[in-house]
Amino acid sequence: MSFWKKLEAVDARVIYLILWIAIGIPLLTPLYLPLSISPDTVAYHKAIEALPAGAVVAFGMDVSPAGYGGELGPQARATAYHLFTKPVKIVFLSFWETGAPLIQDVWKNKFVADAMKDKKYGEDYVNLHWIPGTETGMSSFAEDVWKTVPADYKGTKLADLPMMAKIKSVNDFAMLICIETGTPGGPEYLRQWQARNRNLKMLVGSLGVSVPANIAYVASGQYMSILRGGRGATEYQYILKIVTPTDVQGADAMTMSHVVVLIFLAIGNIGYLAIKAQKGEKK
Amino acid sequence: MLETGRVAQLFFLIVICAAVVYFVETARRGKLPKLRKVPGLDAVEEAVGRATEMAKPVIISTGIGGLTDVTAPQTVAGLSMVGYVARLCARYGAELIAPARMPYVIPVETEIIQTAFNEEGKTEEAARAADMVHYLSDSQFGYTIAYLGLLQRRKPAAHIMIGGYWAESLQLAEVGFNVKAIQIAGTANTHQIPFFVAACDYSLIGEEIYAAGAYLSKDPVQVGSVAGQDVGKAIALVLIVVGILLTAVGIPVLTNLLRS
Amino acid sequence: MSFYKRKELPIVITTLTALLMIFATYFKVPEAKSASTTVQTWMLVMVNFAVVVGFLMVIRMHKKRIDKRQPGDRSWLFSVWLIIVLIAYVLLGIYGVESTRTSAPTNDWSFNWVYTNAVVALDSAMYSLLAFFIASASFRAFKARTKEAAVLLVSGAITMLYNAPAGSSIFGPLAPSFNDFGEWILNVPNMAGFRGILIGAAVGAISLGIRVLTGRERGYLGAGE
Repeated sequence: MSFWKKLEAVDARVIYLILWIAIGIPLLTPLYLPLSISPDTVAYHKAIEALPAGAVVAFGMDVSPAGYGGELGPQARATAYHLFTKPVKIVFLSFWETGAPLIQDVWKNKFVADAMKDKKYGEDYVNLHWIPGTETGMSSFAEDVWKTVPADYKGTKLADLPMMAKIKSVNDFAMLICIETGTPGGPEYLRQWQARNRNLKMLVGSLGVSVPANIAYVASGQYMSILRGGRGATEYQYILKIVTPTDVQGADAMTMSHVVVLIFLAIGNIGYLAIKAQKGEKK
Repeated sequence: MLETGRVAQLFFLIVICAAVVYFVETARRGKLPKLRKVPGLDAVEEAVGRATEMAKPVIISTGIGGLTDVTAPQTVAGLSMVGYVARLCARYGAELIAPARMPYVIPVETEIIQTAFNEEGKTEEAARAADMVHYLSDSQFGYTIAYLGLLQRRKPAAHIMIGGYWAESLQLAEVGFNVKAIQIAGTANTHQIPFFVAACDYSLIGEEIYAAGAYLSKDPVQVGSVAGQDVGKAIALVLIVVGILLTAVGIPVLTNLLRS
Repeated sequence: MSFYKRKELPIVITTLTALLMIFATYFKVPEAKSASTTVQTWMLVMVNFAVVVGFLMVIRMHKKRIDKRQPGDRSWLFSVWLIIVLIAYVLLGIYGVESTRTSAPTNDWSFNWVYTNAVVALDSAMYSLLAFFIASASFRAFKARTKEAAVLLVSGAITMLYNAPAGSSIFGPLAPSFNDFGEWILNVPNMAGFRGILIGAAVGAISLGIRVLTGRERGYLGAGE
């Protein structure tokens, strides 16, 4: 078998091993590869910066453990940090039962905890935890917050949370930030929340794989902007000046994995063309 | 009386509904619209035949969506395919395995398979329909890892995935490729379609999965509704073209109308 | 046939409920909105019971595997382990709710610890397998066999380089132009394709909805005529 044919028939495990090594190097030590900031991340940051004092923001932590562990955790932490540095009121909630426990994990982050120090629970932020029912739950919440969620994550009635006195429906929110893994996520919020409150601004923290689909909603103006996966999270952290070596390692690993896949593509195509040329010669 | 911002929506909903009902009724009276060829659907019988020849199972799944949320149409489309594939398996004598995620989909799937086998006269196999449906896990990746194990152990000759798939789509497709199964996959989740196109032999894109039931069964109701769908798409196309032209010359009348 | 087994009853319930929801969405009738919210609240309660169904089904299924174990096959041990972990985590959740006297078990450190260090970690590990599968799938699929495949290959390569955090930096002074081109691919051809699929899928879902509402789609009720 010729060299090129052997290359084409290479065991997938060889590819996995090379990729594993390439991703592993930056995870052991950050390489500090250059990072450009995309316009979407700048727009995302600007949208939160422009929030007026006292604005009510819904923070939808609609994530799965898988999404949170990789790309959405850094997005959520950076967004929460930014919001806590602003004089706004934050309602944390989740329509994913797996996302609700992670709200408290976000609060534990060093930067977020620092920013939260001067904030008072019940007056500046609340955690409504998991709201069941996926899109039906979103619709019900949008119509009547108090009927859908009688108490917060500790069982405290909404009547005992001062900031909830004026939050009765989706019309009382100025902005929704949805950190989403999948369904229910952004499109469901559009149908149930933004359809009822046309003035509701939406920002979405998206997985990298969902960016091509979500970009359509940004272009139509339904989303103000999106964070593009793990890369968007690191860019946002750079803007907020809260980037850590671990975050840099994530971005470097992403670059390395992309470069390795591109090298495989190049080799694969060179091999294919070489085999095709050889077959042409034999004729 | 009408909600602000919903008038145009309601109007188009009524128009599309009327088109669907019209074409369904026309189809029931014998005027079946012609459906274009969909290679992926034509390959289903070939895939089941291959499995019979190789004495290997057919694995078919309806995705990880349920029947109670926005993913329900995709799951229903998948169940429609399960019925068709079950009939083929009964006819040709191929083993059928149907991994499932949502507990409440299982009784529906079991009954569909049982009926399909009964209709083909295979009453003994029909009685074991419950054994053909494997409940793997309610958790997305618990389901995925169990499914991957199933693919590796049983090495199916045909692997059919029609329904709502998310992050697990490429994992299932790649392992299906590694075990040398012929793969036919389709989903309406736009972010997963590229993975199926890259990794599977045949793929159904977007609403081709909704047309699958109609295409395979030639049931007048389903075929008629596919034609009605196309009216909806034609309306969208006209609106896009007219909207572009009007917006280009600075006339926002259509945009304002659609927002009303 | 028993009244409860007839398919007409669920079809009538489905149709009436859907018509109520549609009416409440499009018309400003407070009574309809209130009824719609009430129905949605009922749905939320019913959905929660599905969790119990799932729990019982898992136990039943794995008990069957344990009962049907064959000599030499040790996979039934995984079923035993699964049942132990399942029951233990449920008990931990109940303990979390009772010990903190709150409605969420996540207020208890032990439940949270298991969730963060086991569930999140394992799920993330599974999700990370995608990186490897993408590499092998790309190696196989992105071959310039035809003109269309060559266009796909080139645009895919450009998009990958654009998405890599340091990808555009290899172009030095041309990096901004490269970024603009990457944005163009994402915002023009990619968006056009996705919009078409989105519109088609949405119309398809409407059509299926009409079939369900008019009782012509019975697949979700089980096989039938």
